[in-house]
Amino acid sequence: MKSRSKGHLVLVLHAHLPYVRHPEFEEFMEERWFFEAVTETYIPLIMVFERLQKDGIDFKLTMSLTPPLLEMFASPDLQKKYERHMEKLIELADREVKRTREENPRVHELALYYSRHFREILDTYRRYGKSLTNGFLKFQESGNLEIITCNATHAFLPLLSRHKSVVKSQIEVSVQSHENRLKKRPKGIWLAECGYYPGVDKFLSHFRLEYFFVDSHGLWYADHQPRYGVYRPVVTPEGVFVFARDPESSEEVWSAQVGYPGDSRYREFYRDVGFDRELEYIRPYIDRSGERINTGIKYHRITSKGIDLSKKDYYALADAIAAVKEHAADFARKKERQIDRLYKLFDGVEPVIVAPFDAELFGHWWYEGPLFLEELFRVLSQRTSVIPSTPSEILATYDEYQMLTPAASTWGANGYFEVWLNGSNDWVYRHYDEMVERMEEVVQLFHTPTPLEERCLNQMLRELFLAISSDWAFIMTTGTTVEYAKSRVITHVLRFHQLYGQLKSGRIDPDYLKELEWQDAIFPWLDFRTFKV
Amino acid sequence: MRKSPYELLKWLDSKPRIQEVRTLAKKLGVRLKRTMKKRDIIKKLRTALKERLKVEQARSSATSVLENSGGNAVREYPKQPRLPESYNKDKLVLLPVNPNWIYAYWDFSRKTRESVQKKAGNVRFVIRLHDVTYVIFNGFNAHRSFEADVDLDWGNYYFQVPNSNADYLCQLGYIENGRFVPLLASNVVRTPPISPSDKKEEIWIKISKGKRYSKTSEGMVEKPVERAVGSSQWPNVGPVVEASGGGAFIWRMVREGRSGGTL
Repeated sequence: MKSRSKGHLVLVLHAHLPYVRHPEFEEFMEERWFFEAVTETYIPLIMVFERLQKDGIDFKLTMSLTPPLLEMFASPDLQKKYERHMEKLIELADREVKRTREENPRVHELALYYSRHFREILDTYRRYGKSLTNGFLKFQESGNLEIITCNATHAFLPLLSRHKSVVKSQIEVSVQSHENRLKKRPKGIWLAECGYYPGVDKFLSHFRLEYFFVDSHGLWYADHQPRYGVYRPVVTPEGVFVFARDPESSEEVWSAQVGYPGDSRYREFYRDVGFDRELEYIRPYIDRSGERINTGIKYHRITSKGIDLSKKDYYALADAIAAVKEHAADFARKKERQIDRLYKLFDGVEPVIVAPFDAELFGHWWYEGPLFLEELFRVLSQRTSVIPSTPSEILATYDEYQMLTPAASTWGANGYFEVWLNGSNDWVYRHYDEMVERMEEVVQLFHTPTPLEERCLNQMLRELFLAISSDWAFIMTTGTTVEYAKSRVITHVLRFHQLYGQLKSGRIDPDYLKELEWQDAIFPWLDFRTFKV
Repeated sequence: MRKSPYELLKWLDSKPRIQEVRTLAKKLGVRLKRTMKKRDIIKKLRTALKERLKVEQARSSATSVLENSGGNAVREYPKQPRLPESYNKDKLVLLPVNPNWIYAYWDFSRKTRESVQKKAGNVRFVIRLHDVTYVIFNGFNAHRSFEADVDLDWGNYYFQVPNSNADYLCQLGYIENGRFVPLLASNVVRTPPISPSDKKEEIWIKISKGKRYSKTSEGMVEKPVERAVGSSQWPNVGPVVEASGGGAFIWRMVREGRSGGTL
């Protein structure tokens, strides 16, 4: 007998990069984070959306495009640099095509693939007028994509909750940025690092944000036990809806032992021609200093875990696609079973399964990730019990919700705040504090600023916002590119204090201010008054 | 304001006046002959700036993008101007780390620093942590109080605490003649909860009518399998804890929610 169970699957991709833009340099290594994410994640996702739409598959996906990412999408100098980056990459791919003629035919075939593929990426980029915002907007308009916002510069709010000025302005600016770049008011918000503390919902409600997300234990340890666990949205006493992460879905995709991305047929991240080719040949395509980096041209597959990188076998696209099909079918089957089980357990109440991921997992880390999503939506379009949905659709469907206050929580290691506060990064907080206190002081002090003072105040808030991005503390914890993260915090703190000194002494240096407005140009429309509580 | 070499190179293309070009040369320490024409000066400046650009770029990008197995050399990062060590304000701040740990940091005004220096050697400096859950602290009414010896120069301290979902406040001071003399008091923080609630009711709302009602709670319909925190070895990284009894302070940098590292 066929089961009539049904439930919803809410897939959420959190797309974020810190604001890394160095117009004062022709090339800057960390700007490659953005280029790589565009090439491997954002454009491939847009291409997936295009194919699904063309085939009439009504997919439903929720994406947070963070304000810094939207700013980088719109930056003319990053756009120019990205095109230059792609032109060079295509040049390298073409050289690889020539070179691999003499090598293994499987490698040659891959070189041909990259040469074609990179051109396709660049064409797509240009097709949307070099602004990926347009690419995503297209699918928001078609009703397939629900784009939500994220607090202004991805500050980790649970550790800044003492400062209402910071929390309020981070939320207000998130809405302003969304309206500014996406011409629409966001309905939902992804709190940076899934970082929630009781009380933040008051600010969300004030700025008419209807929903946010928490990790599973945010509901499990709430002030009332959630009857349906993480499988139904709840509402806080402030009237904001909460969706909680399903631990099973993350585990299936994610787990180091059994997760899909570890399949032997998928592309190996750590073998790259940037490291494999002789220096003489590869030099024009790596960092100017001669430091080797990932170019994005990779010929090997994971092969097997624990095997030495030099022993990896060649990658074969057809095999990888076969793996994608297996995994998408497997995931769909697991969701079907999970929904069936929960639906019966809940006595006919439809379960809502929420699966949030970092967008950059798909494509950048797991090369075949975008194809997996495509295939998943194709498979789900054939089934009736698993309904891909957006949070707004779900909120429009139901009328009764359990009311509770979730527990402070994050999606970081061990679920709390220690990723952003430990021996490697605790020093940042005293400087954050001082900036906040000084900002609060001058916001009160300068009621009717002159145009120059106003620009100075706005720039101070930009420096403060950039300094408190959660990315820096996170990077210090993980131990890669730590020096860059430290230097970013130090730079923004010092710039802030410099401006503060100039403002208070009435000696603003217009050239200095102009320079900072050019270098740290995030949110050109920013108004410092948002800091007033 | 100092401009970057890259910018200055661009500026040289914008047809600057000879006087401006000479000023720049002077700033950069590029020697010119008095008879040199503008075109020659610009040429000379260009060479000097390109040289600088190379140096700066080598320094600016001196980090690796991602951890690589390629075994690349780590280069020297340029020396940063230093942040202030003190903001000369009296301050004691608590921040929650997780259900079992709290972080405290402090700073002093010049006045306090001076008075503290006078005491040094004669008194014992301590930090006290108080459990003030549902209490308005008056100095004596904490549920429990804990004390640790500190060196004021440390500037910070990590506390292991017994209760999750509890409010804590701390004081920094010294013991003189057996009496605690507080110097600074902190804000109150609440440690995050780590257990399901034991409340026996559920509150529900019908959105269309704005009506709330309550039901008896029987807990979650399906008991979740919660994540265990542990390791195959006693975690010996992080702060050294003299007291036994675990705690979640384990530095496993595998993030559940991220794909191993920042992009």
